[in-house]
Amino acid sequence: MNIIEISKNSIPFLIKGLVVTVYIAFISGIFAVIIGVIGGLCRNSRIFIIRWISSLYVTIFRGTPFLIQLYITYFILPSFGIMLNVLQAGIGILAFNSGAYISEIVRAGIESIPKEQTDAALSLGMTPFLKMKLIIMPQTIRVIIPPLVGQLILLVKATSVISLIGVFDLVKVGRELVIGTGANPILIYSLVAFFYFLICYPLYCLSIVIEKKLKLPY
Amino acid sequence: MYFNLLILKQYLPIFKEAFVNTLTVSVVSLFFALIVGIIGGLCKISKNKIIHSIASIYVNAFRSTPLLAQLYLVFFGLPYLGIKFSPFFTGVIVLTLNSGAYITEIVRSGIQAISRGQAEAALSLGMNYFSMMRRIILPQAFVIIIPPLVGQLVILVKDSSLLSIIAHTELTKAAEIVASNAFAPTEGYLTSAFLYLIICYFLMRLSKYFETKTK
Repeated sequence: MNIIEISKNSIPFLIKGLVVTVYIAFISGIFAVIIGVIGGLCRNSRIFIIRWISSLYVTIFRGTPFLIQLYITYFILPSFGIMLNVLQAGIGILAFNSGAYISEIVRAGIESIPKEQTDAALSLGMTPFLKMKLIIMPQTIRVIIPPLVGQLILLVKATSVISLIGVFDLVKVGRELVIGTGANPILIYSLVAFFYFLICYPLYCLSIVIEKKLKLPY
Repeated sequence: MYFNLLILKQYLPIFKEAFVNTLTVSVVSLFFALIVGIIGGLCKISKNKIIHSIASIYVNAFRSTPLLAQLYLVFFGLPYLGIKFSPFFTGVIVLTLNSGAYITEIVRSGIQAISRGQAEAALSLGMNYFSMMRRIILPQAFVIIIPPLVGQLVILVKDSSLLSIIAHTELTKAAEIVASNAFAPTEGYLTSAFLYLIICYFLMRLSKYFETKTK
């Protein structure tokens, strides 16, 4: 078979894999942002124990490889009676993993806001919650969006690892095509890489555009 | 669930070997990636359009595709062309090229952080481009890039876990061996995770230390 024929035969399968990859990335991305914002707020909490727990969470998830976290979730949690299918385990652990990084981004973002803003808000009689909502968060969002998009790109790439526990995403489809049809591995994996490039490169460009747009005027 | 320390004792030599292997493959890859990164960074700030765009294509291609796809491409692609490497060497190639792309960006931003006056002063003293880079710009840039470089080493240590799928005996593979040979996934994976945590925590601390020191 020539190159064009192989590509024509395999691209429909790869597109199915692409859909799964995008689906996983989208769902876990939403959860990761939610976990990250909560984690980031906890890291700035005044209560010692909350700060300590969130810092432990971030250290553990940033200090171990994603693959090990995935294996632990998928192979060890069942012995605690927590049965997860591959998709749940994959999406869950991806969200917690990226959530740890996003916590750090959010924490750094909140800390980058000058202390005077807090003082001013409190002296106007705002409650801590109102201060966060009206003064700190709107300014923080502006700071954290560029690194957040960067983290989401890493998340899209990390979805590929989930194929190792058996989710039929882009990489797994490529692997099965090579094993099943004996197709040229260089061609198939280049196509796989190209599909990832199609998702990630626009995101990189987006993050650069956003960074320029959001640059503070002063 | 229970944690059997006897299994741990029995498989301690494998974990020891795996620990060393993980560190070796990461440090060797970082070394080569640094060379790639310095060359790439210099190309990226080059005024020559062709050199600049080659470096950009390299960086974008490797940053926009997952490590796993790159690993499959090299590990299954090269034998297809008739070239065979050991798992260690394949791992070093892939990790070097992957990290090299990130280090290129680190080096580029490091060089651009050095004020323009330094380059002008060096050139006005009659230095040529290479001695200016070697004696003036790169030594200063190096101090700036040390913290992100240690951060990249943390990423490398974690990325090296993927080498378990090409049968390189590092910490993740050791965990798989314990899980399948002794039917002890808990002992295997938790021990490996703990060892990774030790390495990464130490390196993250180191990176923070350099960051405060070089400020």
